[in-house]
Amino acid sequence: MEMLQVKNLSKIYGGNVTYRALTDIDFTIRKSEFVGIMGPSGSGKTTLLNMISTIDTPTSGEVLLEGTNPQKLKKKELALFRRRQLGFVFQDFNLLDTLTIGENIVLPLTLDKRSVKEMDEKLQEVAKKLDIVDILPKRTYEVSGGQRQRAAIARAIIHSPALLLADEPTGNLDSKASRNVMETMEAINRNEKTTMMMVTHDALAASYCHRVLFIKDGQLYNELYRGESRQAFFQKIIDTLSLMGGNAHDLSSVRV
Amino acid sequence: MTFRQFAFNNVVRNRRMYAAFFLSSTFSVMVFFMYAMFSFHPGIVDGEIHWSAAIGMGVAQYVIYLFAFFFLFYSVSAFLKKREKEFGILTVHGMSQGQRNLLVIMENLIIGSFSIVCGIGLGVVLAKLFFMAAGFLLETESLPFYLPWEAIGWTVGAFLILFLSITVFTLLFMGKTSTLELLKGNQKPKTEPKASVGLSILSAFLIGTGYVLSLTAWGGYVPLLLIPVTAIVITGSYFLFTQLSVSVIRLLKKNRSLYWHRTNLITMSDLAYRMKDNARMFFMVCIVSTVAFCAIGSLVSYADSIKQSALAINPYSFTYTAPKAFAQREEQRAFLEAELRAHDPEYRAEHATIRYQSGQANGEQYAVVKQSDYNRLANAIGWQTVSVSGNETILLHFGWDQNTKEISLPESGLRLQVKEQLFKSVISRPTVNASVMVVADDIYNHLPAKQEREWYGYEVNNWEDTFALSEKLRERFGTSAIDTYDLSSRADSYHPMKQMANTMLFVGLFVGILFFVAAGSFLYFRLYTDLDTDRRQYSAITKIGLTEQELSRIITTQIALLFFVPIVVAMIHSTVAFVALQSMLKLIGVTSVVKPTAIVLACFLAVQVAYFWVIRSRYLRHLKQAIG
Repeated sequence: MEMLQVKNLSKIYGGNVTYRALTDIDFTIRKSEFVGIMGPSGSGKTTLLNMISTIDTPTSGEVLLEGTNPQKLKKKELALFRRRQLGFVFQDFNLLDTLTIGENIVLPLTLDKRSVKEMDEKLQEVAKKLDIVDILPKRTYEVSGGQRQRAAIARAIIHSPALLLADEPTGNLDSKASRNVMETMEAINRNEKTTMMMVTHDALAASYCHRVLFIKDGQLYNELYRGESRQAFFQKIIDTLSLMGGNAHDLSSVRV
Repeated sequence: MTFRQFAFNNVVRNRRMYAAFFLSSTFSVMVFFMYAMFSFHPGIVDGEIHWSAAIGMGVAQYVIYLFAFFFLFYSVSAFLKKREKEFGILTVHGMSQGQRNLLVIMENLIIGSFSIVCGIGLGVVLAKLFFMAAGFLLETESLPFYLPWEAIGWTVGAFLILFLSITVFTLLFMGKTSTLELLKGNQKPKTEPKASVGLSILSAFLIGTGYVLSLTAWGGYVPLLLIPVTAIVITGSYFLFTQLSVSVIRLLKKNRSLYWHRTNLITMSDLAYRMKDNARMFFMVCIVSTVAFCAIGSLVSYADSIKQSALAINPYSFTYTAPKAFAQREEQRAFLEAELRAHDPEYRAEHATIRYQSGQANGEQYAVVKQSDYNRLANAIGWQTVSVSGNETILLHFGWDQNTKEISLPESGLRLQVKEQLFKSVISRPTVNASVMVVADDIYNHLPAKQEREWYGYEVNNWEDTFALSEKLRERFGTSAIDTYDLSSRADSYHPMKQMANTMLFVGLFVGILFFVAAGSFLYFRLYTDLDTDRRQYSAITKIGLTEQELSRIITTQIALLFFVPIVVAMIHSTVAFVALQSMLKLIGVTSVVKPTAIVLACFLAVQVAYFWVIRSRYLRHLKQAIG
């Protein structure tokens, strides 16, 4: 069953110099699939993600999520749609400093007027899955980057969204934390059957996906499927990236 | 590019960033200058101003300066905080700390001098408008415009010192920050403020004590209690905002069905998080508004009571008295009545004859009036009548011992029992120049009539307009003396009191409005220092899915708390202060402070509500633009 359909999607930025960010992008993501989007800087990955996540509007073409076009919703319905149907993981976590980790995670449910009992149950459940039970009462600045990103993932999946969107989730993490976060995402995808789409620079992170789409200059360039071995998949991704002519800097994000 | 050019360009090309700081500086200069201009005004300095108003104005000047100091200190540190990243970059590129300090000092002096010039300019224009408006509203002659060199000198001097010292202060604070911290700028999250339970309880205790003391104090003690109670309540309020409020939020957060309910999660956590910054500001605004409310409230009640005290002093609009033997009495009376008829054809006249008797001790004279005369005078203007029988007497306006039980009159050999003493009499003491005694009619007839005085009371409509008439009468009758006539008019005593009250009211309103506006602008700048952080935070939450209604609900709650918590506390404080004030003012004849005060507080509240709506919608628009 198709969870996400992207049909002939184009985006042109107006202004003094018109700029064609995306041209006729066409792909589908099936239910419980884990898809990566890769491409060099400026290839249009983030633009694509923004349109799928309803933050930006396409110039032509449409995005269908479970058969409905969220762009046709009213402003308020759109906010509710994002809150209920989508989950977001960002490069810079976007956790609120004013809240504890636990409160950050239940935020989508709180806004949705769920009962405290239900929220508590879900929080414990999701925290156990992501192994962050111990840090729930802590504040965001008291935990490591990897823990923060796992908390952000917990927040993104606590309401069992139809689609989880991740924008460079490992971009701000060291290699150990990156691996840990990707393993967590893979496990969630496997166990919860959550459909996921991830935009990344990081070949290692991409190698956890079932399938990787490559974008170059706003157009679909290539598509790779993962076989049995993740190592082999990783190698294939590296090869494709060099083929695309990206320079070394684009292969992997800068480690801090 | 020399260093000086760099500093200058930094300010001029970064206009937008410096604008908020510049505006807040200009504003405080303007407030201070307008006040200085006012207090140096020849019309005020030379005019007759009640001593209490003069003291009040002096205190207000210090409070305004103090307020300007805090306000500027706050804006400078908020401003430098925002620029930490810039300083970090400059440091990385090899700027020494000395150069950085020089840069900041130069910038602040550039902005400072500009804002002093602009503030004074704006102040001159606004003051002119205000003087005109106030003169019109209060029916006094509007104060003439003047170019206040003295005030300009004061303002320039005071603010140059202020800008320099604040800059040095902030640099001392900033000196300790490391380059790395500077580079990270204000992204570093702050920690949640902690509150001590002990201090929270102390705060409740202090405010409670202050309230009980001022509510139960007897009028005469109020001036004595004023300073200790004010100190207690101010300390209590400080802890109320810094400690008790944090504790209360903590407690509320523990109740998860409340805390985890919809947008409460964001609103309340934000509130707790910002309480550290907010507390000091809440405290300032609260105290400043309390001062403003109290000043205006008491002045309004004073002005309101003028008429009542004029009525108490002169029960009749005109009182004419003259010895029975005075030759021109009938002639003067005829002239007076003709004039009165011209003013009000339906005037009422009453007459009584007073017999003077010497007292036994102190050489005190008594003006004795018979009961039937007194009651007729009282009935005519709806005052309370009295009743005496046998050799009883009622003493009115008796200047000696309040416990006097018996009065003997040696000239007639009578000993009279004092039934009661009243301090409210239709025949007022000045019109007869002696203590007044009411006795039964047959006792009166036994008194020797060697010194008698005729007493005429006239009540006219529109007595407020008879000031010119009484001047005319005086001119015609010549100087009054004890053996000739005496004319007393209500308008005479009312007019100067009214003039003085109006001047005081004007001063009070001016100061009060100034304070109120200052408090409001403080809130405004407080809000805008948070705009950047808020933008970042709400754009993050919006991506998760926050509807516009939810966003406005959060913002509305937060701004409402910011605007109304200090004001409401200030209103409670001033209400308590007014109750204490009432028991004191009763002693000087001001009867009611409730109604005028309620009107004043209601007006302030209405203005604050309007202010709140404007700021709220502006802020929301800014946020929504940023989120897109």
